[in-house]
Amino acid sequence: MDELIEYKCAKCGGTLVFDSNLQKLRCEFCGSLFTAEELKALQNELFEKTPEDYKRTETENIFWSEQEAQGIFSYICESCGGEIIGDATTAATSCPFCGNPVVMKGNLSGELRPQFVLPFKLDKAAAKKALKEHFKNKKLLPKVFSSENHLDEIKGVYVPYWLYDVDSDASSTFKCTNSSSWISGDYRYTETKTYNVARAGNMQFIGIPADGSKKMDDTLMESIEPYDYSAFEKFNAAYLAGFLADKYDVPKEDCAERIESRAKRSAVDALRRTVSGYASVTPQDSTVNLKYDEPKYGLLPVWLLHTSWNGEHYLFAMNGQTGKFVGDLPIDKKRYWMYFVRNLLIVGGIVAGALSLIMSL
Amino acid sequence: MKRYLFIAFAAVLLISSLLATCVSASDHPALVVDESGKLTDEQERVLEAKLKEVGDKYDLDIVILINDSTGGKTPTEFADDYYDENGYGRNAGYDGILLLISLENRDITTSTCGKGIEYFNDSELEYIEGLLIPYLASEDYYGAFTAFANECDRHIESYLESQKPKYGLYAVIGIIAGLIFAAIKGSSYKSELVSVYAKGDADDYIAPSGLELSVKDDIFAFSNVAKTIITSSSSSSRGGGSSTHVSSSGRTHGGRSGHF
Repeated sequence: MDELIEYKCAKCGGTLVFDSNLQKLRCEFCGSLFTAEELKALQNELFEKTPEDYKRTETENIFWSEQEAQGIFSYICESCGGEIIGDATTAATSCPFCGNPVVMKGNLSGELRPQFVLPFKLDKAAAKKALKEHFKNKKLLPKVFSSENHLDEIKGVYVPYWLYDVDSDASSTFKCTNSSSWISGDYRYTETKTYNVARAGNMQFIGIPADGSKKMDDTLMESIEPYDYSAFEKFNAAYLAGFLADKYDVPKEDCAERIESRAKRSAVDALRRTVSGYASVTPQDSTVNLKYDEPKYGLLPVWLLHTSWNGEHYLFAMNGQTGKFVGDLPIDKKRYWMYFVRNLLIVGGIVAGALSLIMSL
Repeated sequence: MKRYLFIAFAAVLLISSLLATCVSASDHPALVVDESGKLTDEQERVLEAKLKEVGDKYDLDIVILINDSTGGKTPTEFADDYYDENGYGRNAGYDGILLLISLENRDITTSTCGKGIEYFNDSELEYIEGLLIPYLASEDYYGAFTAFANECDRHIESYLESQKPKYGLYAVIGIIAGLIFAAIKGSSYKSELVSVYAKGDADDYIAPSGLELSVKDDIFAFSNVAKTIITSSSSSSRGGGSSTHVSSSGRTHGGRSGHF
């Protein structure tokens, strides 16, 4: 059986959850607050892992590989003894019987141990409020959607990310022109000067993120970027208490292509921006050489909100740090055509009326 | 005594008939005034009828005056004064146009007033002048005046036609503008609903040091010179405004003067 961690209050033994507003672990029973460091000092044995610990975890992982193939893992809740079912990637969840938050140590240790965690800054209430805000000022959103759509599930998830530090050496050539014109006699002369412009330079990228979880839609995750990495904390499983967390299941090698394409585009764009003072700039050739070391493994905070309306499911995501909220919404076709006809009549009427007035003066 | 009575009666008749003629003349001054005897009575009658017909159609006076001399005045002054002093012009604006042919200096002069200024802009008057000169040069006065009357008819009709609002065209332009606006607005409303899209670049992750350029070459390669002839704007449209001046009577006139 895999090892399960529940963070217990050092004062009353109650279950601790991470409070994103206070940035501390809070006891749900006695209200005591602990920073991750304080808890670490109090419950040293939970955090300080000896090399033997890693060894043990690895053995455990090998032991569970058969079940991993089936994709089902079961754990026993330390608080109530209930059986918690998770899949191979579950790293933190809550007990379905007593609701206590639990962290699966096996999925967060050894090679699977993240280097960094970006703690949640925004709580569930902020995510719910952001969802309501998201519906505002959308002219084509069906009127009843906001009131009728049902919030099925809202969860704070620490999403595993590969973070690449990339060093780029790029060079580009451009064909640029400037023209001037003058009149002499009955002729207008236009002189077009063509320049061969070359640019090369080095640019560093810090932590281009690639979502390392198959469960998460890559486009959805890219939509809530960027994160402010200055708030990164060294990984401490205590931050996970009260949230869901997954371990990565997309190997870092599979993310490289996407990372490279993003870095290349930015490098070429940056070179292009240094070319100025010309009437026209036509890019010719570009070469970009990228160097990067092993990516860092970090957990980034995401609120996921599932809603349903008219038998359809809608998924929204909020950046748990910055509050950036995304999620595509349904369109009311009738309203679209209503606005279309209204705008056609208003603008068409104004233009035709103004023309008639001007021309009859 | 009877004889005196008869003479007196005849004199009264004559004076009253003369007076009646004068009154009728001041009511409707002749539209064709030939002081040089270049037109036959029949030609005068036909022209008079033609000018009246065109004038009635557009509600303005079209007058032709041919004389030997302008009596020391400039042709423009003479034409303006003749128009003002002889009671030409219809409506409150004294709408009308007068064509003066003065033989002494071979002057061809037009004077417009009221609506005439609006209908006949400078370039149209220039066109009329150009149209009449060949007739005048060959001393075909009747031909010149007929051409003048016809051109006035043709030109005022086409001018009024061009001023008519083209509501059908405005409606079509309005619908096209409305369609474009509605489509742009519609796609902007649609885009409000879409917030999930892939990030193609990594601009958010550029290190604070930014781009360090190692090569920055801007090398001049070659130059091309293209030569195009400047075409002057075409005058065929005869567009543009009317220049005006104030006559000795204080009325505003348009018009121009030239030689043939």
